[in-house]
Amino acid sequence: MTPLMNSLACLLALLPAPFLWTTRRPLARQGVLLSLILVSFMLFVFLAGDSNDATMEFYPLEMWAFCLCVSTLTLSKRKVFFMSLAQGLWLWILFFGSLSLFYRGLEISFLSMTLLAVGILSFRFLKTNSRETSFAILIYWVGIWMLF
Amino acid sequence: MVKILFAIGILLLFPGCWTLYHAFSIGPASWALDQTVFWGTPIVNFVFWIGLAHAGTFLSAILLLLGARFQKRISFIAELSTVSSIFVAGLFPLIHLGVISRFYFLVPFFNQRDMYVNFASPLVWDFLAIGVYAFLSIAYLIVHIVSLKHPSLSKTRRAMAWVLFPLVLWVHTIVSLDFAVSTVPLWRGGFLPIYFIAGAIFSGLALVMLLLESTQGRGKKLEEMLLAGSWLLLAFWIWEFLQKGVWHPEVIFFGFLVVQSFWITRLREKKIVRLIVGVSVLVAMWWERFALIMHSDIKWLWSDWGWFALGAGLFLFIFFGLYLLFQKIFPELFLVAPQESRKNTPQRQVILIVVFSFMLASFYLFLNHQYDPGVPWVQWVPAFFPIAALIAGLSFFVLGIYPLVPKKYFFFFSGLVVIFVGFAAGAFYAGGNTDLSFQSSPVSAEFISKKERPTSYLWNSRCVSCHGSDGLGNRKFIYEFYPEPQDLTLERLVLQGEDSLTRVVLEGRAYMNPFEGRLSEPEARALIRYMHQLAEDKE
Repeated sequence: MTPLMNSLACLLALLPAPFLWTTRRPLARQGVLLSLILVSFMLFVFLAGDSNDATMEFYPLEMWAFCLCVSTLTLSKRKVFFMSLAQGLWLWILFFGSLSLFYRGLEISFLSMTLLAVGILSFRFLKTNSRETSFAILIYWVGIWMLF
Repeated sequence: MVKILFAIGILLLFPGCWTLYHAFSIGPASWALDQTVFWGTPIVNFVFWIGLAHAGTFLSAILLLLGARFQKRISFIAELSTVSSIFVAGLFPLIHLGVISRFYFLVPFFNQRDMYVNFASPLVWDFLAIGVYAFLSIAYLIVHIVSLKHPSLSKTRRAMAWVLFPLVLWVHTIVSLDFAVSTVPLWRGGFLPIYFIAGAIFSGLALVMLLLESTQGRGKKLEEMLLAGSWLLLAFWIWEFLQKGVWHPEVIFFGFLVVQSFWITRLREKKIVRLIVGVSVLVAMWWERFALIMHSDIKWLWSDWGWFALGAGLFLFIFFGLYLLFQKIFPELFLVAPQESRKNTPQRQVILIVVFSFMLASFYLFLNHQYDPGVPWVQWVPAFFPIAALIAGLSFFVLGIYPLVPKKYFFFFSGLVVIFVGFAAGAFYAGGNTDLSFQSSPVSAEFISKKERPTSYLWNSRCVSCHGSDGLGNRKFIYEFYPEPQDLTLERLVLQGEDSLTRVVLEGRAYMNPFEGRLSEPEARALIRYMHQLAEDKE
């Protein structure tokens, strides 16, 4: 995927994030919403992604996890807990997706995984309720997405 | 209802046990296999049942940590369903091995013959992850039961839930890697780990919903979760289609469309509809695994049908058997929800246990690495976490139980466990007898000759799993298991001579198993000539 498409993917993932938890919806409707967002990411990657790049196999899931991470910034209760869970999901997708590809001869990039692990371990020490900290965390995640 | 289902379980066990006996008698020849379907229905059933084993812990442990109140009502049913399903699931890989008495080759433990397990193989990860999950699920159920009389144990339950949370996801991720790291194009996919987790939880939810309907009544939240899950699965099916061009309309019908009937309240209120939806999801998820593994029009043998009876029968027997037993012994289990204090195990204790577990698991893998330094460290990670989880989970369990049990009983029981573990370790280290004629139920040469099969058939049934259909080696098998067989080049065959090679076939050498008792000498000689023919064709 070209840097431009990668940036577009980042924007696309950021788009629904602020609205995911603002309205209290029944569980089933929330599930439908999350699934439709995932399908839209899948269609984007299918159309814009490089089909020869094996990492595209889990790229939409990464977008989804990234979107969930950002959406946790809007939570008012148990923010750090769900932040850690969302980052854990992203880390999980990256690690096990890369491990599958490792058997096909692709190298694993550990930098983004390390940064996510640092996030999981360290965000609990931050005052996540302040706007400035939330913004810094958002930049941190966007940085992981764009640079690594 | 409970007693009827228990009785159905017993009835199903009759054909199921007969299938099991048949499979242990003649090995993998008893179920449908061909050159493209090399795993067959036992693995279809394994993936299905291990998936069902997930929802129990998911509903009980993960929802406990997420603070979902409705898990209180369903936690006991869910945990019991996990323990029953995991027992059924664990049986199928043993059947799949063919030679069940060799299962200890999967145990990542030193042995005196230096035939060391391959830590790069998902089979070893499977064994570890599932074994640890089964053990800790039973311990978690015990803590649940004991916490009814000793509420102080609820914090142990919470601590163990933290261990089980990642472990339950880890197990099905590892099962997905059986496929994702293979060389089969249809099984490839970096998205498989998450897809498998979603599928496992979806099917498990359907099972718990059915069990709840048959024992205690309706679970409205489960219906909501099932609806949500059906949409998530649909997303994965769409992605699979976009990636590989593969889709299964029957899976989408039973796994997605039927579930959508829950949107109509009038339908959802009817018990029969809820039961149909639950069964429909189970059918879809079984079919999905079937389509993944049995990707050819292979003709089924009767054993393939027998696994249904075995799986369902054994599950119903264990689940409802334990249910009836607990109803008599611990009637309060069905009246009282477990205590769920917000109190946690002291933070210092948790940190100590986690550090201790990680250090011990690292040390264990370091020792293993000395034996097999060729495996990159990233391939040790899947084995690392289950070992650490076992140590941590066991530590929380022992620390929780210790104050409640009289000291003499505690030490007596601990002593018994240590003796058993020591005995098992010694037995694994020693290994079993490698002389196959010693075994009671090898496939006899007559079994094959009766069918008047040609040498190529003998080659396909005996040799192809390691040496490949063309004699160049079965890359897939070698990749996932080990060791590397000899290249059967014409030069090597000529150099060794027919007499010497016949001896190797019958008596074995290095990693090659002896085939005496399963092949006659004329058959072994015929195979050597067939090898010559293959080698000549290659050149």
